[in-house]
Amino acid sequence: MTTASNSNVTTYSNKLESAIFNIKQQTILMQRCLTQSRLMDAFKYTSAMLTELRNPNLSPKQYYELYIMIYDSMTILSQYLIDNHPKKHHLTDLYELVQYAGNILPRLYLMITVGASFLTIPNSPKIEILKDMIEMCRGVQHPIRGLFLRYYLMQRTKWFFDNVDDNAAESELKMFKIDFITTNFIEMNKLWVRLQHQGPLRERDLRTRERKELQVLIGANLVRLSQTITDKDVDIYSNNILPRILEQVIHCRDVVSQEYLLDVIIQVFPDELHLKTLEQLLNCTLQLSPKSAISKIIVCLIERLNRYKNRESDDEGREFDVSAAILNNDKGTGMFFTFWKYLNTLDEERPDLPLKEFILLVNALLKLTISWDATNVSNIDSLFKFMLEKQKDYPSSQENNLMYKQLLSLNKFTKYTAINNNNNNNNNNNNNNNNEGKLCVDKKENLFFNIITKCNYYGCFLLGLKNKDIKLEICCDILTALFELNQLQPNVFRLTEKNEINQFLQICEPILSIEDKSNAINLEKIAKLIHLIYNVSIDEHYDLLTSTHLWINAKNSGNSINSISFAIFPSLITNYWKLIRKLYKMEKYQGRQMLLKQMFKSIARCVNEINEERELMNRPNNQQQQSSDNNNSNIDLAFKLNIQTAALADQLKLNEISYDFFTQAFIIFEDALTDSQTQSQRILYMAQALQKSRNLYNKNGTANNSYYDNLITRCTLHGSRLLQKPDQCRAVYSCSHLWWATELPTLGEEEGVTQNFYRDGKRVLECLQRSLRVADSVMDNVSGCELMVEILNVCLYYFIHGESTHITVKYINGLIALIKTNLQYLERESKQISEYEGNGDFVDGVARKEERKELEQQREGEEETESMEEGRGGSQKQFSRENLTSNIGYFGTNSALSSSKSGATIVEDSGAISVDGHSSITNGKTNKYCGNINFGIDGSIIIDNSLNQNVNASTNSNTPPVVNLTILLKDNQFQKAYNKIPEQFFKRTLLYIKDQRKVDDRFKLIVL
Amino acid sequence: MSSFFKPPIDIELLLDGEENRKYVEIPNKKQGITDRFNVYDDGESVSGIVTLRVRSEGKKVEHMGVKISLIGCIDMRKNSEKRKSSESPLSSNDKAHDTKSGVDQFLCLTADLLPSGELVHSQNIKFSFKDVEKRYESYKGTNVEVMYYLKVTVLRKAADLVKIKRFWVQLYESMENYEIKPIRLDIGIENCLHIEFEYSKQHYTLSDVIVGRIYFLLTRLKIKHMELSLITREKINRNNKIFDSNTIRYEIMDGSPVKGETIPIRLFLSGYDLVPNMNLNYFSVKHYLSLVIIDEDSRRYFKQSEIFLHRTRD
Repeated sequence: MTTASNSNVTTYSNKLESAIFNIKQQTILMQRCLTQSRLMDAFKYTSAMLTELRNPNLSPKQYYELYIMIYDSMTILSQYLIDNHPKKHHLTDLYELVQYAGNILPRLYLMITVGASFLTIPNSPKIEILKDMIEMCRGVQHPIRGLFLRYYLMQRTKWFFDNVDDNAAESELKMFKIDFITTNFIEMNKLWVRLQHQGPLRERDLRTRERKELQVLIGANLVRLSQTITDKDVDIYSNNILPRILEQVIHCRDVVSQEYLLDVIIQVFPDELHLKTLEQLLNCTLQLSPKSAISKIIVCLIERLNRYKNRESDDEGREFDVSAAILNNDKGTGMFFTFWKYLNTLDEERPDLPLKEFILLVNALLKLTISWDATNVSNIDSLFKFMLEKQKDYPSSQENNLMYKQLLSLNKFTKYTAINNNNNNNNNNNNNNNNEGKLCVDKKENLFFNIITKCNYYGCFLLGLKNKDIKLEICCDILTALFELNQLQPNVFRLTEKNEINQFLQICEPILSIEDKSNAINLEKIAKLIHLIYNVSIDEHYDLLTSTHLWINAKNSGNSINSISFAIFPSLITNYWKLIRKLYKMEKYQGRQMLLKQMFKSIARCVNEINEERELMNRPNNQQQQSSDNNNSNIDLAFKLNIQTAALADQLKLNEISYDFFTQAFIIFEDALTDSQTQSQRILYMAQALQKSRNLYNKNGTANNSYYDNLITRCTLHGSRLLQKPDQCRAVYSCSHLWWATELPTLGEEEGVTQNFYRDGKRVLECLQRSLRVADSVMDNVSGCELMVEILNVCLYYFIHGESTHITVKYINGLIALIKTNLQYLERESKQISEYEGNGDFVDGVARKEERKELEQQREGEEETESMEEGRGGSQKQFSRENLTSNIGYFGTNSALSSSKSGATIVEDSGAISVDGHSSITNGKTNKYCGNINFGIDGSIIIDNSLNQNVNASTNSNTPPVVNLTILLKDNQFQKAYNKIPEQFFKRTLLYIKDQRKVDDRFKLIVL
Repeated sequence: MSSFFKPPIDIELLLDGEENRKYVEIPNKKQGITDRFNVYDDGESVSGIVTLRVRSEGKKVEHMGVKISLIGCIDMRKNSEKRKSSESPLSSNDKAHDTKSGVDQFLCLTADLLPSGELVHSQNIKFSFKDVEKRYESYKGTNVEVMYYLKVTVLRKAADLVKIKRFWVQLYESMENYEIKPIRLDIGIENCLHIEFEYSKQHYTLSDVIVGRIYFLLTRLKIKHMELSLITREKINRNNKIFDSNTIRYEIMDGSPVKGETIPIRLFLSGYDLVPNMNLNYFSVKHYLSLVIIDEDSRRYFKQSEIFLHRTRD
C-alpha cells in the first residue's frame, strides 16, 4: 500500500551519466514548478533527484560530483522558500511536511534545506531547528552518504555560524555553536573511520585512498570551529573544544584520521591557543595508535610555532619586544621543557617507536629551541644527550637510519649558519634589524659556534655514530661552515678558549681516524682550524697552542699511515711564529725572553716530529713508493721550516736560536736529503735565508768564526759538493751573495747609506772563480757556455753594485772573451754538423743549415746585446733593480706561489718568512734557463749533444780523470782555506780549458 | 435505460449544510474515484430535506406512503462470501438485515414522511432524526465495512422507489483515560544483534507524532537500512480471520551503525489516513508498529509492538 508521502519511491540510476542526466532533468522540472508556485510538485521532483544520492555504488569522487550538482539545485529551492516564506507557505509547516518522505536520505536533505532556510528568518527557533537537524542526521549511518549529508548540513548552516550575533546571549550562543560543530565533527569522524572497515579486506588500500579524498569534509568542521573562536577564547578552547576533539582523535584509533586531524588542529587554530594548550596536545599524541607518525605531527606543530615566532619577529620592533619578553619569560623556556618532558615520557612509554621517529622529533625540537630561545645552549645539549643515549639502544643502525642521522647533524648545520645569523641579529639589534649585514658581531652569539663549543654531547653524539663516512662528512661540513663564517667575518670566529679548541678538535677526531691516504684535504681542514686559534693574551695563546700540540701528539701516536704531523704541524708552527712576532713587539712583557725561548723550543719539537714521522714511515710494513714520496716531502718540509724559523729567530736577534735552527737544517740536509735535484734547490733556499740574516754575524760566538761565517762556508761547501756540475756552478755563484749583503728596505737599510753591510769582495770573487772553473769543466759546451753567461751576469751585478776592487773590468773582459771563444767553437761545431748532415739530404740540409744559422745568429745577437747592455753599465740603477727583483725580490713571487699552492699555510707579514719554499728563486731560475736552451738552440742541440756524448765517450780515457783529480784537489784546498784561492788558479784553469778545447778539436778533426 | 422504465418520481435527499459540513473522502476502488461523505458525530441530529419530484408535472402518482430510515450496519460479506465485483451492500435492497449474508444492522430509525396518497406536484419534506446515538465509527477496511446511511423509500404497489445517501460517523475519545507509558523493548539475536528501542508512548492520537529511539548494543549484521512500519490488523471475530495491511513504511536508518549508536525515530501520523483502534463484537482493528531491519542479503528482521490509535477532537 502506498503512503501519502510526497515522494515517489523511485530508484537511483545505475550509471553516473544517467544519474547526472536525471538530476538535471529533475532540477528543471522543479524550477518550473517553483515558478508556478506548485511547491508540492517541486518537492516531489527534488525528492526524485535526491534519490540519486542513495546509490551505494558510487566512488567518493563520483558522489561528490553528484553532490555538487544537487547542492546547486537545492540552493534554488532554498532561495524560493526564503523568498515566499510568510506569503505562500510557512516554513514550520514545510519543515514537518518534508518529513513525510519515506526514504531517509531525501527526507534529511529536504529537512536540512527547509530548516536552514528557516534559520534565515528572523525570530525563528534557530537553536531548536539546529538541534533537531543534527539529531536526525544520525539516521544516516552509511559512511559516504552520512559524511556528505553532514557536510551539507555544515554548508547550509554556514550563514548562521558566520553571522555575528546579538550581544545579549552571545556567549551562550557561542557555546551552542561550538557544541554543534564539535558534535558534527565527532559524528563525521566516526563515519570517516568506519569507511575504512567497509568492503572486502583486499580493498583496504583503496579505502584508505578514498578516505583521503574525503578528508576535507571532516577538516571543514575544524576550520569552521576555528572561525567561531578568537585568540582570546583560551578557556573555551582548552576546556571545551580541544579535549573533546582530542578525545575523539584518540578514541578513533585510526592512523589516517589521527594524523590528518592533528595536522588540521595544528594548522587551523590560532598560535596563541596552541601555546597555551601545548601539554594537552602533546599528551594526546602519546595516546595515539602505534602506527601513527608522531614525529610528523610534532614536526608540524613545531614548524607552526616557529613560523609564529618568525612572524612575530617580522612585526615592528616594539610589538616584538613585548611579545618576545612575555614568551621568553613565561612560555619560551617553559615550552621547551614541556617538549622535553614529553620527549622523555615518549621514550619511556613507547619503546616500540623506531629510531627514525626520535630523530625527526629531536631534529624538530632543535629547530624549536633555536628559533625560540637560541641563547640557551643547554637545551640543545640535553637534546644531544638524549640522542646519544637513544642511539645506544638501537644496536644495528641500518642504512636508512644512517641517512637520517646524517640529515640530523649535517643539514641542520649548513642551514644554521644562516638562520642563526638572522636570529641573533634580531635578538641583538632590535632597532635596526633590517640591516644588510646579517652577521653577528660576536661569535658568542653565533649559535653554530655555540653549539659546537658548549654542547659537550654534540661531540659525543657525533663521535658515537657508528658509520665512519657519515662522521667524516659531518665533521668536514662543520669545519667548512666555520671557515665560511670566518670568511664572511674575519677575526670573529677565532678559537680563543681552551674548551672551544677542545670541542673542535674532538669533532675533528673522525678525520684523524680515517686510514686513507686521500685524506689530505680533510687534514688540511684541521690545519685551517689551527690557524683560527687566537687569544689576546700571549700566555693563553701559548697555552692553547701547546694543548693543541699535545692533542695532536696524542692522536698521532699509534697512527702510522697518516702523515698527520706533516699536514697539521706547519700551521701550528706558523701560529707559533705569529705569536712570537707579537710577543717580540711587546718589549715590556714579563718573562719575554723565556717565553720566546719556550716557543722556539715548541717549534723545534714540532719540526722534530715532522722529521721523525718520516722514520715511522720508513718501517718496512709500509709501501715503498708512497712512503718514500712522503719521506721526501716530510724532510723537505722539516728543512724549510727549520730555515724559516731560523730566519725568524735571526730577525728577532736571537742568534743562538737562529744558529741552532740553521744547524738543524744542515743536519737534515746532510742526513736525509739525497736527491741531487732537491739538494741543489735547497742550497739556494738556504742561501737565500742566510743572505738575509742580519744578526748572526753581529755577535761572535765562542769560536773565532762568527755563526754566520760558519754557516755560509758550510753552505757554500755543500753547494760545491753537489753532484752535477751545472748545479755546483750555480750553487756556488749563488752562494757568493752570502758575502755580499744587500739592502733590506724593511729593516730600514739603504744602499749607500747603511755602512755596515757584511761584504767581502774577495770571497765573492773566489766563489765566482770557482763556479767559472766548474762551468768550464762542464763537458757539454752549450750548457757550459750558458753557465758562463750566467756567471758573467753575476759578475756584472757585483760590478755594478760597487764591488770593483776584486771583480775588475779586466776580469769581466776576460770572461767575455772566454765566452766568445766558446761561442765560436760552438758555431763551428754546428756548421760541421750541418755539413755532415747535408750529405744525406743536400737540399734539405742547406735549408736546415740556413735555418740553424739564422737561429744561432739570433741567439748570439741576443746574448751579445744582453751583455752589451750589461757591459755598458750606463743605467746602473735599473739594472740593479732588475737583478734585485730576480735575486732578492723573489720573496714576493715566492710567497704568492706558496699561498696559492697550499691554503693551509698563511703568509705572514711582509713575506720575509715563507713557510713553503717549494718555489724558491732557484726553481724559477733553472726553469728560465731550461726555457732558454730549448728556445735558443732549438732541435739542433740534441744532435750536438749526441755528438758530444760520442766525443766524451771516446775521450773518457784521457781527460776526465784529470779533471776529477783537480776537482778533488781543489776541494781539499777549498776545505782547508777557502779564502786563499790563488789568482793563478783561475788562469791555470783557463789555460787548461783552452788546452782541453784544442785537444777536443784535434780529436774531432781526427774523428771526422 | 429508456424513459419508459423511468420511475415516475425522482427522490432527492439533501442534508442540512451539506456543502459546508466537514466531510471525508474515501477512495472508491470500484469506480476509481473518491466519495465525499459528510461527517457526523455521535448523538448529533441528522436532518435534511427530501424532495420528491414528479417527473411529468400534473400527472398523478399514487403511492402507499413515503418513509425515511437511518440505518447503521456492519458488512462483513467481503470475507464470508465470494466477492462479486458488482455487489455492494447498498445495492442490495431489503435483504440487508439478513445476518447470514454477513450484514448486521445495529441501528434502524424510521420516520414517515407522507401518508399514502397521490402525488401531483413536486414536494419538499423536511426530516430530522434528533440526537441519534451512533455506536460505532464508520469504517472501511479490507473486508469489513461499518456504514451509516439514510434511506428514503416511496412505497408503491409496484416496486418501491428507494434513495440512499451515505454519511460518515466519527467518534471522538478523550486521551485522559490513558496513561502515558513508553514502550521499551530489548531484543536481539544471540551474538549477532542486540538493540533496545523505545517509543515514547503506547496510545497515540491520529494526529500524533511517534517519537522514539533505537540503541544498538551489538551489531554484527551488515545492515542495509531500517524501516518503521505501521501495520493495521483487521480481525473478524466470527471466523478469526486476520487481515494485515501495511499502512506506513518509513525508512529511519540508512547504512550500518556501530555499537553504541542511537538512531532517532520520528514519524508524523497526521499526514496519513489512519483509522483508530476499534473493537466491536464482530471485528476488531488493531495497530502494530513494526521495526524492520534489512541486512545486505535482504533478510528482514522485525519486531512488532502494539500501539493504540485514538481519534480525538483537535
